[in-house]
Amino acid sequence: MSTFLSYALPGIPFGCTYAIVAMGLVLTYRTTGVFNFGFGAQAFVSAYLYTVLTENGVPVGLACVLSVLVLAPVLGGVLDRFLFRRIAPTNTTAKVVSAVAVSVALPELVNLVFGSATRFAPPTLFLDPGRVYLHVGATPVNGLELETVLVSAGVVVVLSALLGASRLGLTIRAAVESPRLLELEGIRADRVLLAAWMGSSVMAGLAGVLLAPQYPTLQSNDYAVLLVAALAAAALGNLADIPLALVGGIVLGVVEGLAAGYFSPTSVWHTGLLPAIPFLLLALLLVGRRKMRALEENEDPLAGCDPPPPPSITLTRSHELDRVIKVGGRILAVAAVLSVLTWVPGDWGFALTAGLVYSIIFLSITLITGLGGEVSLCQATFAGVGAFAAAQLAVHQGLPILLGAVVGAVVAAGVGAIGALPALRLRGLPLALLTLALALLADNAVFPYSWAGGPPVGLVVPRPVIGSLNLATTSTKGFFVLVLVVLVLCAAGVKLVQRSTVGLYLEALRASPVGAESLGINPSVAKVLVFALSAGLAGLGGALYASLQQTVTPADFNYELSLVFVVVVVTTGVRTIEGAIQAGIGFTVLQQLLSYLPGRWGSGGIAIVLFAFGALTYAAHPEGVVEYEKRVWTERAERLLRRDQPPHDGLVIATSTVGALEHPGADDG
Amino acid sequence: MTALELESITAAYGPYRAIDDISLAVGRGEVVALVGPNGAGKSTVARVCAGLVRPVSGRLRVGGRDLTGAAPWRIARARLASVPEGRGVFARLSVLENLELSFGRWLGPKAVREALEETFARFPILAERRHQRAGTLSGGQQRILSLAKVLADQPDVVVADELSLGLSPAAVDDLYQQLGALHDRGIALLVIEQRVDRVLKLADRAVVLDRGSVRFDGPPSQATQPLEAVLGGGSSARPAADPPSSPGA
Amino acid sequence: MADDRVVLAVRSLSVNFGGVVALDHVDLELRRGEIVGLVGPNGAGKSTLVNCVGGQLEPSSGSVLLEGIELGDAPPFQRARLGIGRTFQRVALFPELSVEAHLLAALRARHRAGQWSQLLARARPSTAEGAEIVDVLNQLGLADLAQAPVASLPLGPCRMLELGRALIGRPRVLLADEPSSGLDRWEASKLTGTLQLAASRGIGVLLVEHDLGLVATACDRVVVLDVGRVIAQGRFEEVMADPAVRRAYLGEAVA
Repeated sequence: MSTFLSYALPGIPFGCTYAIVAMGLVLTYRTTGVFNFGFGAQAFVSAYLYTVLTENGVPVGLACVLSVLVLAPVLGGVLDRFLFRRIAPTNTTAKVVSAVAVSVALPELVNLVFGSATRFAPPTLFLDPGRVYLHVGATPVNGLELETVLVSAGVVVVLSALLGASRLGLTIRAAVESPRLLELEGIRADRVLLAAWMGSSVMAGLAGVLLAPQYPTLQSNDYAVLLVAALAAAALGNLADIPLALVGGIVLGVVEGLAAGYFSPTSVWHTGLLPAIPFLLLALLLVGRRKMRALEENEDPLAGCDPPPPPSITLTRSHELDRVIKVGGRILAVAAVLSVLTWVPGDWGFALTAGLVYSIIFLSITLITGLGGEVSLCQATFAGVGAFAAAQLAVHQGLPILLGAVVGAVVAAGVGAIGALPALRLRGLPLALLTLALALLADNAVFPYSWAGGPPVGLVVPRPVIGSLNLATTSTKGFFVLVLVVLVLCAAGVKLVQRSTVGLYLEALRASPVGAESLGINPSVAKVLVFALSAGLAGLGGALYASLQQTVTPADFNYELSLVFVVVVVTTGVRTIEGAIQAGIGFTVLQQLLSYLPGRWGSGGIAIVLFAFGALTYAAHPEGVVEYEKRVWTERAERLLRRDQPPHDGLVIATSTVGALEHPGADDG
Repeated sequence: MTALELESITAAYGPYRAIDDISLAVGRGEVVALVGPNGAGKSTVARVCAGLVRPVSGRLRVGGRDLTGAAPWRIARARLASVPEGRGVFARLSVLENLELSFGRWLGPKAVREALEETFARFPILAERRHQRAGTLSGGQQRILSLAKVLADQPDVVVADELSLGLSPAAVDDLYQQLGALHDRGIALLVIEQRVDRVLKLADRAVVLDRGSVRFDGPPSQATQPLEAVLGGGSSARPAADPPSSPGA
Repeated sequence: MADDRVVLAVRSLSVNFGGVVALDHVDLELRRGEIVGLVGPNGAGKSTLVNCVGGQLEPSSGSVLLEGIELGDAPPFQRARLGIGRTFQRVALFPELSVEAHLLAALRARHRAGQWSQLLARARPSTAEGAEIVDVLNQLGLADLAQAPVASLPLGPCRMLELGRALIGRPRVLLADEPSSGLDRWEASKLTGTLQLAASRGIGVLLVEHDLGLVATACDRVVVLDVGRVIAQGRFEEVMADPAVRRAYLGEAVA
């Protein structure tokens, strides 16, 4: 029994760190309707300021006030004003993607502004970290641990009081569901939401400052890891119950403490299971709990007040312009290909080839998010499955890499299909969280094994040999042509699926699942199919990526990459094939251009920041930046072409068409 | 002075124009019926009054104050209560919470309790389901809840969009009794309805709307003929809706 | 017209929503080519009954039989393939798709099992499918709008399209949940014609409706629900004369 306690008790303060983040997540979700993947990043920003201030001799109290009560709410207010307020309350995809964008952009932004010099742990808030204040049984409790437990207890009391009984809680819940409907009651919904963002951001700041002293150095990654671990604790409270999130955090900490204690450090359980516990728990909760499924069942009662989304500009632009653009586009593409094969320098050739490979991976997002309507946060994991399968087969079985890539794609498709099975009843946010859990499971419990992700130093992956043509020896040009051919085939395949009957079913399911099912469309088959196809494409792209790099390590396809992928593609345009290709090429070209900049500005981080800023426009233009810009420029060109003719469709369209706007949105929940 | 006045209002959804140069006034304590075929722009008028759709041009006055382009909350505070079309309730709040949210805006805790008791006595179906999430109510029940929210308010003018939609005959009778009671309390009403016969009996004045413009504005007794004209008069001669400029067709 | 073959039978169906009884041992039969009106006060359980038949809701007890076959816990898409078509109180269309695409999706989903085989099949109607779609479009009076995206249509055509989507491919049973709600008088009369045409082709129609004029014209038989129970059924005039119905449904001021 005493052994049990000695393993379990240290888990409690550790669990409380999870709990503080989990309670913050629940608070943000309940008060703003956004599941804030950026919570860890916000905590990191406050912790950073706190650390810098205390390093420079600012007293702890003042530093704490500045970073928790000043910086954090200002940051929250900025996020609300410029990002989240522009998103319709029912647009789950936009909310998930924007929050993910915040989570990847904020730490990179801090690095850009302050540089990446190592910052050491700042002082604790009020208790001495080294001193043992009391003993529970035989287990000593130091100041750091006691502080964490005390603050957790305080937070749960304050939040429960604030949200539980009062009219404030009711108003906030109403504002989250439909700000406009609340305004009809004479209440300023924008103020309510601003206050909610500022309040929950204070919580993020507090978490950041409180947890910073626990790590020897200050790193954004620690906060990201904490965030994903806290997901499980938050899920235990159905993402809605703050005291349950506290319990969830503590349970998680204790289970980890027990597992660490009882499993021998050399056993497979210790290396494989232990780091995966939070994600396994998260996956089980998402799949098993009925309440989680209902999380996103929400529709805006006043959706009829919004203008309908404009049709794709490629469908409405004039015939002449359409022809000019198509011919011009082809000439440009041929010129680009010829340039790469002739005068373009090697590093640019490599970057463009990588861009094409990324485009193949990004097409998988066009399928799953654009056509299937679901956000997947494990596309890099699928790419990794393909890459590792191809690499292992090439290295150990001597299989030609191209054949290996095909096998890798099939394996990834299989993993995708199996991964879809537990997700059959999930949509929206819970599904996105489940894919994140799968990605983290793979990162922690599958890829680190040498039979899967290879040894830590990496696997050497060959370039393809086609007949007597060795693509490794002919620089990247031969490989460029190969990848181009594969990309064209993949794009054609995606187009075929988009235009097929299954594509029609998927569009129907995305628009109205209830309506689609009432016609005889099987939603389960559709979901498995789209996951398998998407994973297969990502796997193929991953294998080609490994072959391009000629080496692959277990950490090459981690979950953060999945987050970046989604942000990049959704920003550019998730509904069209052009969107994916422009995202792929834009992503690498931007990084290549930035490499000319000096110092820290030359790192890849700024590319991520730029795309994340692109996500700001995404909130206002969900069709994607490319599609939006296309519309703007097409309209300009058409005005120019028709300067002396009356506009062919100006403001007024037959009034009868407006009838559609006279009744609430035609989608049923 | 008028309770609600629209002066030359034009409103559009993106490129789609919905109402064109509409002028309409509701006097203090007056009941105005707004009728017309589907797609005429009736709901758009209601949304402009509530501040949910900003007019492209024209002026909106509530109680004599110019509130053109004002946010919905500002218009609500000018004592205009709006019952939007469709599901005007918070689906994720319970019936009780929906009512508490509305009542709490005007009343203190004790008065809220009294208002709740009164509401539950008036609408037993709501009392029965007070702890149910409003989203799980049937369409008709949600309309009843929307109405109940407004009844406890003390507005100067109520804009009600298709209140009787999905209500059983008995519930429609009850609804019109409630509207009559509001009228007796001196509250001005702009009632948008598909059930023309009922609303014309209640109204002091009728406005017939068709294709975004006012076709008739006068006493309800004389509204039947222009209304028949725009509704197609039961003959099968009503022209089919123009095909919209379908993209890429 | 109506013959004696029962296409849809509801046996002792009950539904509880967390303690509230929505349906209480309801029995109901629908014959081939028959239009049965389902009326009752708000909250009587009409939509709940329709949702149980359509598979959108799981009953607490009781059973639903389609041509004598027990449907059990079959999901909605299986019921659709077995021949149940339905419309929704709030239209459940796909705003970005064209009118024609709606009908094509319905036609293919109902008749071709196995979605894997359709991965590469073009979503464009074949000659036979095209003829069937044109036929339905003409019936509904939507022929001019075939290529229009649904987001640009007024409510009337939307309701008609939803009806056409449920009827294409000849289901055995049509569940229509307040199809005339929000329609003006002219549109409602067109709706009545479509329902009668469907019935004349042998489809059993269960019509939830508050517009008593429409019920009187269209329905062969009327079933009245109140607080989850059948309180009366029979011919329209008989049922409406029933004092219990007058009290529960029509209220005092019967016109």
